[in-house]
Amino acid sequence: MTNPYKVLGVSDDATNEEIRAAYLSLVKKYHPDKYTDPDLKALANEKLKEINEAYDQLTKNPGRTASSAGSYSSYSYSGTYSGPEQDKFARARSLINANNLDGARTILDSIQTHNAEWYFLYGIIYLRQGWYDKAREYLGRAYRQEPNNAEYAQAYNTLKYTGNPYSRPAGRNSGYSDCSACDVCSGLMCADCCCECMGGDLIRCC
Amino acid sequence: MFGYVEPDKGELKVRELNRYKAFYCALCKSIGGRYSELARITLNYDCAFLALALCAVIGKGKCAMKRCGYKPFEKPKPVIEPNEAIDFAADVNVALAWNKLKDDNIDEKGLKRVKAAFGRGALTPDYKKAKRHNGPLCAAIEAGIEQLNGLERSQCADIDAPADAFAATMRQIGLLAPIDDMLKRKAFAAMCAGLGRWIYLIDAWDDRADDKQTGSYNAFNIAGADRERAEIMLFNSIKEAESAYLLLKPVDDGGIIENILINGCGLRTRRALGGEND
Repeated sequence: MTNPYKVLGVSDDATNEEIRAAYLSLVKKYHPDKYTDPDLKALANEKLKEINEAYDQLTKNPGRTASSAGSYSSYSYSGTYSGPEQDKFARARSLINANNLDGARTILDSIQTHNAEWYFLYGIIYLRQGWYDKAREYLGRAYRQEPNNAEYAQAYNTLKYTGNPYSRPAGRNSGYSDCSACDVCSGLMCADCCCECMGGDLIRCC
Repeated sequence: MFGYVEPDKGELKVRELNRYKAFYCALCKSIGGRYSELARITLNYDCAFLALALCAVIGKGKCAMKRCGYKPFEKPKPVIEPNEAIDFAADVNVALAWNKLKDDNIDEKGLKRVKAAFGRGALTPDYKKAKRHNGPLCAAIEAGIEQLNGLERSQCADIDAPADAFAATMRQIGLLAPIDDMLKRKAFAAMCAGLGRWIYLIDAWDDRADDKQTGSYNAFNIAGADRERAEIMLFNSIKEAESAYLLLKPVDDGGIIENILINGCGLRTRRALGGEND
């Protein structure tokens, strides 16, 4: 039985927050939707299963408070579209989920209504194929036509901010620390409190 | 086009840097042995990365102390012992270099064309050897470069198309790598595809000014793409390579590979795009 702490990459005495953070970051990393090829998708799913099992083990452990949200499963594109040519759009979506990108494209090409949903699904096809500029164009259109649609927003923003260093978890090699201004300030406040408890005063005005 | 895939040396351990150089040396020796002394001029760090990653996947990469043939008065240095991964990378190195020269010979203008003609002619005997060593590999590279040429000659205005053509060529190369496990080979090929896409794009981005002057095809110039679009394409390509790499679980040298894929390519991208400094 593999050590669940090792699978999640946390130390034996990690807090619930640390475990959950590690879990979420790993799920994002190994998300099967990143992989178009069915074999690679299967490999990613296997790894995800291992991660889910480890997380379940650690959160069911007596003495640990149960986490509120459940574990993640493979995310399928399940939009809430209702409008013209609804059936065709639904069929295109399920084909995308099944990774039949050619089939999905054929259906989209037969749809007359080029609305936000159409641009979104076509954008996803381009994304899966590695055509990132076209993906940006189509996902961007969908997002601009319906900025309140969370699904469109998430897809477009994920694509757009891939290179943003602050969206990467700080690892050994990244060189970016987790310390933010909030950390510095709260650290100072704690230090001040401790100092005052012992009779001193670190920060005069606090 | 070659020489973009490099580590972020500032983040590498000294031991790792020495090991990285050991692969470069091993590749040089393999090219010299399998081809000719002349062929060694085609040696590049991109194929050294290929050798490193491939060795890591199949679990080979023993080191030995050897002398450099060109610097016989220096002490022996660590060099990876010959194996099928290094030899494969050597074949890729020579084959890709020759096909790129042939491509330049046809498409480039002026002095660059003359130089390419000379290089292509000089290396043709070595390319014939490459075809004997690995016929399918050369065929795959020829077909891929041919497809890329077609797109460029037709002045394709979609940046994604030629980038994808080169990515597909790299994927084919990856699929021919000496990896027994089919799934691992697929993941390796997917990593090569992402990297190939990135290499094509960053090369095109860097060459915008030169190509505008000489009138050569440049996808970014034709599409009128700006820095923001380039940034999205480049970083998502790195992410593509990284996602595939995550499935590989290398036996060794994972640190160096991650440094090159994540830090190295990221750093190189930011440098090419200009502006933000780390």
